[in-house]
Amino acid sequence: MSLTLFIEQILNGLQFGVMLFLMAAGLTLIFGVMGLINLAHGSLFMVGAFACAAVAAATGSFWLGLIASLAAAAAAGALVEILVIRRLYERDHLDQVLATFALILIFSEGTRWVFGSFPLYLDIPQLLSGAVHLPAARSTQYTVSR
Amino acid sequence: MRKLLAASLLALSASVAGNAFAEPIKIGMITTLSGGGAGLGIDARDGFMLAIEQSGNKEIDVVVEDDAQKPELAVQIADKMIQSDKVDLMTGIIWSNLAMAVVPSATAQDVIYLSVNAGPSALAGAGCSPSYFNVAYQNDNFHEAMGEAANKDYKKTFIMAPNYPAGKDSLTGFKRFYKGELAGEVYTKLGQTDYAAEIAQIRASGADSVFIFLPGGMGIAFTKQYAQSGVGLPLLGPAFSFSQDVLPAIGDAALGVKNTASWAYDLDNEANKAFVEGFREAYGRLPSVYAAQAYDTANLILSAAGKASVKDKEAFRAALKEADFDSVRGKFSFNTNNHPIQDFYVREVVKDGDTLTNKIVATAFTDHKDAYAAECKM
Repeated sequence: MSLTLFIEQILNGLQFGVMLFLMAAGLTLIFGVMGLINLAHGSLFMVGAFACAAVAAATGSFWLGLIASLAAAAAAGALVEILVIRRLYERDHLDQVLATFALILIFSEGTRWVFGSFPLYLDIPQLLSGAVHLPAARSTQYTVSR
Repeated sequence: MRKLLAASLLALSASVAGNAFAEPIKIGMITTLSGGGAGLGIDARDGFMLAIEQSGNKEIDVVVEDDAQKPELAVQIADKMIQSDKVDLMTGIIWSNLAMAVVPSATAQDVIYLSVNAGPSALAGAGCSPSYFNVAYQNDNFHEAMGEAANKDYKKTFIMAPNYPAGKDSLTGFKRFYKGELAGEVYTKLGQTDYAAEIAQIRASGADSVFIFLPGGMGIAFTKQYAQSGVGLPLLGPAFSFSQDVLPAIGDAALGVKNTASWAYDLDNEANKAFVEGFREAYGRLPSVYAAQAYDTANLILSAAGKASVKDKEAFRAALKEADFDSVRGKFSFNTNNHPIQDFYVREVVKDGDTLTNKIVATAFTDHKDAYAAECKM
């Protein structure tokens, strides 16, 4: 195994790990600080991603899509809190698991209903596309965006 | 009077259907209509239904169900179709791992299965069955054609496929005809969306070309990331990786890529012209190779339905085996193991106006048979 490949794979592992950490951080933060289990945490990511893809496809601008994704995820979160989770703070964790698991199913079917079952694709904006040279390994180019 | 009316109506419907056995035929279609592989199943379903509609045969009832690319779900649906829907024929499965889960048990229950896409080697060789007809290809075929075509320009190819039966068949097929050296051979997870690790391996391998078999969403993800990474080695692949269902999503990154198939939309024959025009008119997009295969499957069923009763399995199987229909692929006949004998072409991704599509640039094989027919005893 060459040094270039080794360094590149380390970076790949690192970026994947950081991405998983970002997602998991929200989950543990809510559980640790608020004592609430929200299994539908991932669904909020999904809502954001779909909003971004839909808006970017409609307007042609990734940045508008980014704003839309934040707004949509925040709105979905607020809605879930008001309608469901507010009633569950005092309840047992098992009740929270049950209710938020139902939310996963509702969100999944809901997005399939709205967007269809065909996957949506998002183009990387010009600013973030391309590769960077790393000085440590002469010929290593590493894709920044993703 | 009423009896007379009914009788004449019956006679009319029989003559409209235009065949000797205008009896109801129930076809169970299990295909992938959701998830990353949905594009393939949707095209197969649309191609199949187009042929049924064009025939004007009202006696054919097609039950379509979504397998979500999950073998366990496909098995459940198959059981339901065979036991409670009592289907006469089954078809539609895209993925070989699902075909392996469904086909052997369906044919064991004397249901005739016609494959629109999946062609695992296990079912072409020792595991063949008189009730199993593959109208598409044996899995190795497209890849064999690419292996043969790659000999011309390349000496050291990096090859990659998902880890499932069709992926194994793919690389086996490529290696069977490719004479150059392999820079690397990698199996990825089925449905993988991040190829950063594999792209790093390709870069480090010193290859002069890259052969990928990544159907559906996998091909889209890989090709985009590959273009981004700036590796820049020429890409080769079977038509699945650069089919009409994935090209719009890949975008210009696919331009100039060589791929192999038994069909292309510019193939010059009457049946194909009618198919491409009909498909465009009905669905507003260009058909893919999956749609073409499914269209042929439906026409094969229609041709057999004109010759024999579907209740007489023996006669119906014989009628299917004759393959007496106008294939959009031009020549088409069945080998001894009920797999096709057909030509294979090299296609190149080009821009036709604003649409990305494939044009035929060469012929890779003429009257090509699969490598497993000799092992089939039936």
